[in-house]
Amino acid sequence: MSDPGSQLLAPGALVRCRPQDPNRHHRAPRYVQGHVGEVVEYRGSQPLPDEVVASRGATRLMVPVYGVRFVAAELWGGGDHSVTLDLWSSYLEPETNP
Amino acid sequence: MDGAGRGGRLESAGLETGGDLLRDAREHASVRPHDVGGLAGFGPVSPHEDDEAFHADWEARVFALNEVLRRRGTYSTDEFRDAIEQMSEEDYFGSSYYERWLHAITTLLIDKGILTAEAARCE
Repeated sequence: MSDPGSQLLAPGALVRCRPQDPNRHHRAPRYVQGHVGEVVEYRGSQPLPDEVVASRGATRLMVPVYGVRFVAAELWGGGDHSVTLDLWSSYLEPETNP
Repeated sequence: MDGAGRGGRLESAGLETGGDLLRDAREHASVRPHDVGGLAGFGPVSPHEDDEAFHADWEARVFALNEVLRRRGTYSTDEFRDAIEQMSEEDYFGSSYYERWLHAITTLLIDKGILTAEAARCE
């Protein structure tokens, strides 16, 4: 069975983490919001936490999750390592102007 | 971090305007205290050897209670995290890890009508 999420963003795609409403539950930490990362792999689809909370646990909106790698120096201003986070596609937009 | 100071100023402003300003600020400002990853000002990270999962019996009980309630479907992990995130800055930074858990469990059980606020205040 093909999973549509695996087709949405391919490994190597550049994505930008969208700014998030700081008063609402989400799983995109502030330190990656607005930053560009590279998709490492599709991790499967999982219920979007925002919707689980908004519906008080009543609904499970399945959304693709991707491992996204960010360059540490881009996030922190230093370091020669990278930081990889699992992010729901709702938090990501394709980076068209890298 | 100017977290506690910011909250204090909002409280003062709210009192002066009948609460409207405070409510407005809470609806629009960043008042969730938890998202501190990457922020400076918390002092150095000091890794230490610590094999103890729990440092008091009540911590293990809180851990177990949360496991049972989540597995029974009383609430989801996302609602649990959301409940912790809604703690005030003073309470959040003034609480230990499992004190935050206990706060979230209590809040959710009251919110879902399983526990009364009166019962939650009992020792």
